Amino acid sequence: MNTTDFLGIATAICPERDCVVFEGKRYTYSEINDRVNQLAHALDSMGVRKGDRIGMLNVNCNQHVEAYFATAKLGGIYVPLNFRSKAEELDYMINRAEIKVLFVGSRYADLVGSIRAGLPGLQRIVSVDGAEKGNYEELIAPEPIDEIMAEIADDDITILMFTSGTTGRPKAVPLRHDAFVVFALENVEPASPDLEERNILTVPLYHVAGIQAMFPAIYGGRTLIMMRQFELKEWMETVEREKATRAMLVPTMLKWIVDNPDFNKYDLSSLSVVTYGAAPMPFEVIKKAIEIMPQVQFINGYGQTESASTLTTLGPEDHRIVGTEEEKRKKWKRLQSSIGKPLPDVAIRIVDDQGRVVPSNTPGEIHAKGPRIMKGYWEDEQKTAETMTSDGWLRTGDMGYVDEEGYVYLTGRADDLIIRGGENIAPEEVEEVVNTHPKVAESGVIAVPDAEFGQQPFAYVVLKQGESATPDEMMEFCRERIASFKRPRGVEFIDELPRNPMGKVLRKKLREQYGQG
Amino acid sequence: MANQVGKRYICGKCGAEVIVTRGGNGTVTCCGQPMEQKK
Repeated sequence: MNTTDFLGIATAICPERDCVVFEGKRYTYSEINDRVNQLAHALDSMGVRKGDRIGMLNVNCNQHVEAYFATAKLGGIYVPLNFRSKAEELDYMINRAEIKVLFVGSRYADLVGSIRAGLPGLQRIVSVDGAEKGNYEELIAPEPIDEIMAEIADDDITILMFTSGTTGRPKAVPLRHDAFVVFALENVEPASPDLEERNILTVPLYHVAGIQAMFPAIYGGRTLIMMRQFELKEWMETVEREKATRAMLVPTMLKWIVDNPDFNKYDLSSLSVVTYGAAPMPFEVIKKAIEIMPQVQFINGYGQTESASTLTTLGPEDHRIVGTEEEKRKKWKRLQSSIGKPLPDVAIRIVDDQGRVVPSNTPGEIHAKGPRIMKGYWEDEQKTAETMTSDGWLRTGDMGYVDEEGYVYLTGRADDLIIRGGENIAPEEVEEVVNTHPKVAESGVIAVPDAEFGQQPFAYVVLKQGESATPDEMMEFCRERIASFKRPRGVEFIDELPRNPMGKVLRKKLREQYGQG
Repeated sequence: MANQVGKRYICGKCGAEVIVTRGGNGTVTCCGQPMEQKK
């Protein structure tokens, strides 16, 4: 079985049910399936073959879903790109993935145009929503709706997803069909003519959390209510209007919702399940959410791009603070920092810095193993060797421990990665940009706590001798050169960076001296 | 008994489960006996 079967099964069982609702338009499962087939025929006519990479640079839209399944039916590999990337970042990702056909939202057309000359492997650009000749709708209109399907092996790669690590450029993670199929079969009820659920999707589809929300929704025959991006008022209005029953949120989004002074003006009673993840959830936020949305079952899902989907969950029962005083105390503790228990097909172990497995209640690095974890990064043996052990364990980079009841707790990061609102930021990537400022000698970027986003990047800058500058000057410089979520939110000037005897910048020391330690 | 689209059927002997993507008049069988509709 592969992911195209998700759409096939749901279309067979509930063809007239809304599959996607987007900006006032409604597409049934039957209509989406037809559009997918038309697009697949169009891509086939362009010469797209098994293994070819097809990119999408746009906010969430119905075409994202269609382009994914069309690519999958041809055995291609879908590459969703972060729409907040700057030119240089996009240039890197498009060339790295060797994207052959790129779908581009109209607001990003100029950006892609500015780097077009440096994309030798890119054969075709298709405007998703523009009026240019050969745009998406013109492309699919003349094509037949007959099924078209390449031969797909269960372990074929279906998505290439970029994720930032601590050093250098984003890494490309190959995600396989079987990783998503195994998760769906184990954890999701398939489409049923008797059950209609409505998922509101605001997490971007270039993020594994967005993709992982999409697949269960399609397999489950649910209606996907798509928003371009999360916007608080629009989210509240949409949940009320569309009577959404399920939502996937990152902690920042949930914080905005529960802190909304107009919260009580909206009827959110249709919501029955809220899944959250991608970053640690502030305790005060989930506590307030439980209080003001008592009808909702909350689920904390922990995973990484490298694991395709969820590794552990803290389920609805753990969000119901009932029982004896001791049981309630345990549940509050779990809500503060537990990511729950491993899913049945996942093994978790905690390893110390010598590589030894440690017993329960002893902190160390969280390792994970299971059929859904990647085999390695795309064409990067070195990074793969740093992240995967020789016997297939994924070094998550997260620190934690397992208690005597099997609950996994997070205590921090093993490395210097910054996670802002669920998105990874490599400090080195930010430092490289800061260091190109003519007045800057060198810089060190670390995470500092932030009530809204969990963490923010903060730059410590050593200026060249005789130079002076202001923090605003530095931040403005970065604003023009790096994706908005990566730019430093603060700058402080220091005399020198802490280094080890080999000259490596010790960001841990920076954190201890200035940040969160 | 006719099988119905979207319904799932489980084998009482081996535990296998199927989902019907196109209904028909026939009975879904496994291990030599009709499969039970999953509730």
